[in-house]
Amino acid sequence: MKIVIKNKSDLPIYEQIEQQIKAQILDGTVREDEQLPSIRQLARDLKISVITTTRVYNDLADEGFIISVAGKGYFIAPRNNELLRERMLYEMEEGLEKAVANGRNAGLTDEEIITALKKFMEG
Amino acid sequence: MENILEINGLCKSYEDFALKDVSFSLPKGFIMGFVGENGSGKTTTIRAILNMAKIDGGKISVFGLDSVTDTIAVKERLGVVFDSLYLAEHLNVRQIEQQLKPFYRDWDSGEFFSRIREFDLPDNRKVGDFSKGMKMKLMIAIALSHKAELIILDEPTSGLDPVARDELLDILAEYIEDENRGVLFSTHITADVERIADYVTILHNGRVWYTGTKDELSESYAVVKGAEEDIPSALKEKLIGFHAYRNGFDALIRTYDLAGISSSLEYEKASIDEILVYIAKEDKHERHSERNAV
Amino acid sequence: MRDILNVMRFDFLTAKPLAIGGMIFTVLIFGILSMLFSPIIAVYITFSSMVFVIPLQGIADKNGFNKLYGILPVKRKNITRARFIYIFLVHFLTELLEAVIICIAKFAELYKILPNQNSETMQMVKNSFADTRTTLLALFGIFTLLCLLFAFMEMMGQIFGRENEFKIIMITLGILALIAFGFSVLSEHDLIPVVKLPGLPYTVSGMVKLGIAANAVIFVICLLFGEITANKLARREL
Repeated sequence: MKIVIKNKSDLPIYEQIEQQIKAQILDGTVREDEQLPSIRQLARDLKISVITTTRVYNDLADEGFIISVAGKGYFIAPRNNELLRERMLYEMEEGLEKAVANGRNAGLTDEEIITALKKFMEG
Repeated sequence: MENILEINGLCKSYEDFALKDVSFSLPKGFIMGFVGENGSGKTTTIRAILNMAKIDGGKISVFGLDSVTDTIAVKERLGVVFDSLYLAEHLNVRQIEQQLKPFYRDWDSGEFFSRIREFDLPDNRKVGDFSKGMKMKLMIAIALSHKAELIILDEPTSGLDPVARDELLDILAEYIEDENRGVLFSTHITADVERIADYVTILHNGRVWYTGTKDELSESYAVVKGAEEDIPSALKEKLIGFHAYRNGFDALIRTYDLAGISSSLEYEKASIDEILVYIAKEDKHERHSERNAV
Repeated sequence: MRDILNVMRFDFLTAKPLAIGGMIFTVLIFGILSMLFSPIIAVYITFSSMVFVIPLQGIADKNGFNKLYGILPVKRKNITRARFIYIFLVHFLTELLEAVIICIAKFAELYKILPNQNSETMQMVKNSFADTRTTLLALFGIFTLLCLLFAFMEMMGQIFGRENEFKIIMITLGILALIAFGFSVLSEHDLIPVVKLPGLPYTVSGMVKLGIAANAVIFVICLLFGEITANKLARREL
């Protein structure tokens, strides 16, 4: 697992770590059932506070990305594709909803918004 | 959560300076950054913990033991790193080890020399010839060799180069991996504690200005900037360290005061350094207005 | 007790690298001289054993030992007490060493290998080897004087601070001058040489008893000075 912390980022450190771990779970860099470093090991490796790493693991566990096994530590949760997909769909819908709302607030027509989306997808 | 260090209502006055009702506590397993400008009382507090300064009031407990009546038992388990070396400069590391060994019940020579090697310290050179960074590492090696459960650092990084400061953070990060330990790290170079500290206590003019988790501190304060006329008058009083210049102003603000703030004002998260600067500015400001009132 | 031993050991190890070379050199030179010319010469070794005591206060001040005293798990009073017992012990052990050298010198009688055995000078040498009483008087006398002096200087230095060292030296010199004045008065009344001081025993065994008594008294005085200093310092902050 690779984690890079940018001190000058706008994102708080815990969010940077959460995003990177999630990305690596989703793209398969880390496999399911793989054990994660302990909270204190991770804090030591990254030279960040224990409270920060505790928060990262708690958040990830709440969202179902990792599971905590009492006495053993933290593991990557068995991959539940359905759940992940659902979650990502939900996040996409949320994003689209916001994009459409912003577009309409700016006075764009629906066609213009769709054109913008297409353009965005073509990169 | 069990506290490894607990200070309650500590008072101590000198002719020209006083600690007033200083209270804070450090739970086991964490690092606390102890910050404040020079002369804010950090060193006096540490001297009180070590029973070097006699306290006028309040109570300090370390490992649940009283810092005055149980001072010897406390010191068996306490490691201290000062800003300067406290050892005879004409001796080498081996001679120093010989000197200190019998004082500690839990002294481990093997541990000491393996640390000395790990820290790249020559064991045959006079410690007086060591660089500042090497002296700091020697003091840490001593603390680790008697299995100190709490390490107190008093301005260990003043005058240290960035490499040595980074090494110190490495050592502390490793040390705190054991959740039964604690670190109280006094410094005015806040970048050192910004990342690694779990808790922060800010001392200002002998009083505790903030104590709590670092995350809460950085979430509670923001630096706000903009044009002076955009500040609602109710808000202006709540600004800390207000500073107006030709094209606008900047100040520290509590994040809950940000609600309903004009969108023409910009704000961003405050670093510990910025918080310290604005507290100091606020102080000057107050003194200034007091003078005007008279 | 363990604390006091540890602190004494600490003081010894602090002074050792600075003092040991000079000490060995002095012991060799004065040891040989005393074997050849007069056992009483061994007594001079006491002057070099001072090097185990003199640098300690300066080293402590210069290297911020107050911080060390603040973090060591040792009572402040025991740190102070230990210094005074250490001063006694340095002088006492030197005295023992000198006594051993004197014994060896007397039994070895190495002066017999010197040339001109019948010269006048040689007669003085032989006399000095025969006069054990005077040798012992010098041994105990120098011990008593110097140990007392150093314990006193330590007490003054610790209580009034090293920045007042000049005053302390002046006071000490004043006391010495008084003693010297006393001796000169005695000599004017024909009570000098010292060997004829009234009240001093004339036999060797009497001299040894007096010596042991002197050691015991000096030890008690050192403990007393230590206690006074420890109580004064305990009220101060480190």
